[in-house]
Amino acid sequence: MTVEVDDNGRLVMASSQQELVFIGAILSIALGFFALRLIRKNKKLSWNESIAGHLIALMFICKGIQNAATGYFAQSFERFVTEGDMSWQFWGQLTGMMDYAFGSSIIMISLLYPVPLLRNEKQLKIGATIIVSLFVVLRTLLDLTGNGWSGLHLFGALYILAGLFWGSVYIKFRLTEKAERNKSTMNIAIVCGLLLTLQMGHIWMLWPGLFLQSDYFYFVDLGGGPVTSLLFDYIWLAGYTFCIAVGLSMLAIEVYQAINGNSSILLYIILPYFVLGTIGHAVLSSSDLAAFGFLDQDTEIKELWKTFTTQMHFTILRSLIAMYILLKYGFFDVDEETRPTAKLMTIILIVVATSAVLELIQSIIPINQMLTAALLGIIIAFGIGWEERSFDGLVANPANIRDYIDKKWFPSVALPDGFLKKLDYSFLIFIVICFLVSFIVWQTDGLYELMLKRGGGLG
Amino acid sequence: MTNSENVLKDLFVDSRSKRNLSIFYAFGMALLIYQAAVFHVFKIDEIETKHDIDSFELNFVESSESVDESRTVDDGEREVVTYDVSESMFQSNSGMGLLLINVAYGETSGEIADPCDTVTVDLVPNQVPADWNNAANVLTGTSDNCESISLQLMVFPEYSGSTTTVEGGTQQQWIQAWTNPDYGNGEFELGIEVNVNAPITSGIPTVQDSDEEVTITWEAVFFEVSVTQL
Repeated sequence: MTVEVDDNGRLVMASSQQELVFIGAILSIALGFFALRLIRKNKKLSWNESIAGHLIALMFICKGIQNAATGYFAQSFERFVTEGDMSWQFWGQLTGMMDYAFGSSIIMISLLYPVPLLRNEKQLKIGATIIVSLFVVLRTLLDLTGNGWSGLHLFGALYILAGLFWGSVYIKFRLTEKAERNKSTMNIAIVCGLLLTLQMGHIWMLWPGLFLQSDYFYFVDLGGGPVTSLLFDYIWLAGYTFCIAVGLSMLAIEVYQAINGNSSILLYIILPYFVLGTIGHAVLSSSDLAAFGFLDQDTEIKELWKTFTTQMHFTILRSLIAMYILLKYGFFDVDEETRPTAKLMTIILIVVATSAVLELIQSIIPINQMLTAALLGIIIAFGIGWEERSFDGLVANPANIRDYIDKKWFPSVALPDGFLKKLDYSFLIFIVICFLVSFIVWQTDGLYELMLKRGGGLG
Repeated sequence: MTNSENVLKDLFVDSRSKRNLSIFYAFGMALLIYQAAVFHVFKIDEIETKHDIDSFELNFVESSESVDESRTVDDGEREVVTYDVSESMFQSNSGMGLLLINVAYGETSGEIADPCDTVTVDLVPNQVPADWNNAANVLTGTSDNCESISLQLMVFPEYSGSTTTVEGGTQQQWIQAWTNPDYGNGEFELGIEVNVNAPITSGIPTVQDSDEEVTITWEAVFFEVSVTQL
């Protein structure tokens, strides 16, 4: 593994990015736990919505653990360079395995929500078995047998598969015949677009790099060096490429529909990502380092740009988009009992995200602390004001995706008794297994041996 | 219509859907083929060597500012002499590498058989940014035989003046790392103490040796860095 060290021999990572992953961890875990609590109380959800809701909550809990592990990995890897601390292997393995849960969940969600592509119990079982086998069990076995970060891990598949499934549903319902268009078709298209934005937004900002053959795009290397094979890097980048294909397709469709008087909010959500990508091309091209090089020390302007664009989406916006989807698309049955929890969740997420952004701005622009404290107060007051005014409207008028379209799109499947509880517990067990496997990998120097075997070194 | 268990039939139910989805899949495939071609053909050499670490040679061209001043210090007294480096030197160079101080004196009493006085000098560590703890620093010196005293302060951390090879980073990063107008920018303080060694004729009323004149030469050595990729 190659790392960048500064002139004092110290490994450096942009501190703002390191801080952001911890903020992302808090947001994701808070969202996950609150959402899980609320979804479990909602008895009105259909079978596919229930599974999708549980998976969204659980995958954000895993993402939160992953974000925290990523931050600790960077810190411990710095100590590895300077003091020989080997605990980075624990955090590195945990980071990877939490992504197995996130990736598998997002593929499964794309097969079930908003429109279930798996339409009966048999298809559900087959789909789940393939996903769990390929993206969880096989990967874990490869890791335990000293074959981590291999081409067989099929990293990048989550982008291709989810992009394919949600992209198809989006196109089907967004470009439906004029006579068949209604609120439900629009809402299905919008929620697909939102889910794709949640998953791929940070990658859309790299779109010029794909076409202009830029280093910042083609040098993306998840393993940070020769630990990953060329095949691994290629598959990962193929995932990014498909994300950009999906994003550009959506953008073209939204522009086309807007021209024809059928615009939607999606245009205003997607467009900024591509505009930022255009502006950011000059910044990201300023060095030959990849756009996502967590341990790399890049030029100051590039680090700053990444912090406020790709990393901001990756750590903060994802949770906020998910919160909006959960509230707007009826995943929570907000009544007198659940209202305080739902409100608490929104306030926590908005306040944490806002204060994190302000802190980031303050770390770059020398604004007086009293001024930013006052600004934070004003923003929170507005946030709570928004919550008071709009929360009821948001949850009381959920976006309808079923009522106005053919029922063939929503087949009934009877879930076995206690299925959702088992799903929750299986995630809990998986998280425990992840910690255990990570501990084993650390104690057996699994990642270190892999690094040596594949020709990596410290510099 | 009853529930179809084959979602593909519903997705591709009409020619409009078939056309739209086909365009989407074709576009996705086209971009994947393009990315594969760039990755495996056009940029393969760059991608395979992307983790090779660049080496750079750092060369330092030195220039210096020299200032002399004389001071008469009374016997048993300690005087502090200060020195500010010209601002123009910081603007025209990458940084200040080191500060050299030479303190010279002789026996100036004019008395017969008057031995050299004892002169002690010390460069006082203060708030001026410099590498005050560098092992190569010589911050104090004493002389009782009229020999000059030489002091040295390494100002820019890790500066040695000799050509160095470094690895990693970029050319611009190394230039930035070796460009800093803060080091050495401030007022240096040199303490000078004189202890007169009286001549053997000191008992005679007309014989007097009560001070000494010292000449201080401040030399601020600056450098201009150039970075060459090897």
